[in-house]
Amino acid sequence: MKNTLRAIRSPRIAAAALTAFALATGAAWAETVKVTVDGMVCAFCAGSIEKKMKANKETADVFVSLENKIVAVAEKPGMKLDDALLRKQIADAGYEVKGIERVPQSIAEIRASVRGK
Amino acid sequence: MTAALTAAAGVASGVLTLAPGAAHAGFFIPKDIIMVMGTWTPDERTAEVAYGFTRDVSGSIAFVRRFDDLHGGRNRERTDLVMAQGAHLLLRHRTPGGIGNAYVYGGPLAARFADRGDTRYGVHVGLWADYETRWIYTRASHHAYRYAGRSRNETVLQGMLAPYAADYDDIASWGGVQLKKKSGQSQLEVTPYLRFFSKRWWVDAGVSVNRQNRNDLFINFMHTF
Repeated sequence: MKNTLRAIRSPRIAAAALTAFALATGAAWAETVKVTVDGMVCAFCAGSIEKKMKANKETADVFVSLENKIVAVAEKPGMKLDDALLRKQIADAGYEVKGIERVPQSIAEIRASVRGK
Repeated sequence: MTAALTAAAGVASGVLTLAPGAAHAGFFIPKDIIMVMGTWTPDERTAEVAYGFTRDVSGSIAFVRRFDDLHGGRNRERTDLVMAQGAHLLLRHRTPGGIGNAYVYGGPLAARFADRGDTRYGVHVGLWADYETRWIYTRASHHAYRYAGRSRNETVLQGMLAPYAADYDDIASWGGVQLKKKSGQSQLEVTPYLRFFSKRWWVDAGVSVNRQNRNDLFINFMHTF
């Protein structure tokens, strides 16, 4: 039992177990890049950010919230967006990234949580 | 990019022909974004296409048809201007709930006087400062033109309020007032107007309340690609 617990605490084994569980149950493993953008108040400028994000080959979907100052980008299966690229693209649009996190939520879930506030 | 600009210039020309025209892009145009604008008033119709080269530098070409009152408003002089413009973002200041910008812009122009049939060349230069949150928008700008021995100046102040803080997927509605002072015009133009704004387009519409010679309908249109 102790050995089993120790094994689960190992990040690699835990990730493998989680992936195996997701595959076994057929569950969709949704992870979304959630970018917090400083000073994003204007739909016009946010529109240019959305355009840039959608043009990335790794992007499956984009959601923008001015209320929460977030740009959420869903990655295509097996692909990963580069954080440095996201920062540069947002800087080119005239804004500054305050933070980038990867959250275990789909775009639809983020959209629903933002609208439910 | 050249092809994109050429295509956009064609679109702008179409706007000038079909509808009436577009405006001056003093404001921020993000990198790799094309913006087409049009403005219509009884005195001025403009079409403009602009492109963001970098975060701080944009360029545009504008076609302007201007009508000036002569002899106390009994005659009108038509002037067609073609203006090239470079705009540089001098300052971008972010606050927790808003953003402010300051730009300088200007470039060469060619002016063709319809009555005289001759073309003269000149320059134009402007300064633009704005600050906006999701509830308020304020702008001050000054634009100076020098051509054919003429000196024209336009100073604009705008203030707008939003009745609700629209989010990205909503259509934002704004109500505001524009104050405009042109050289050669004794009266200050006061134009209450509405703005409807979405992700990639906006439309302004208003009517001057104290135009010297006529009620001055003001329509402004913008779309980005």
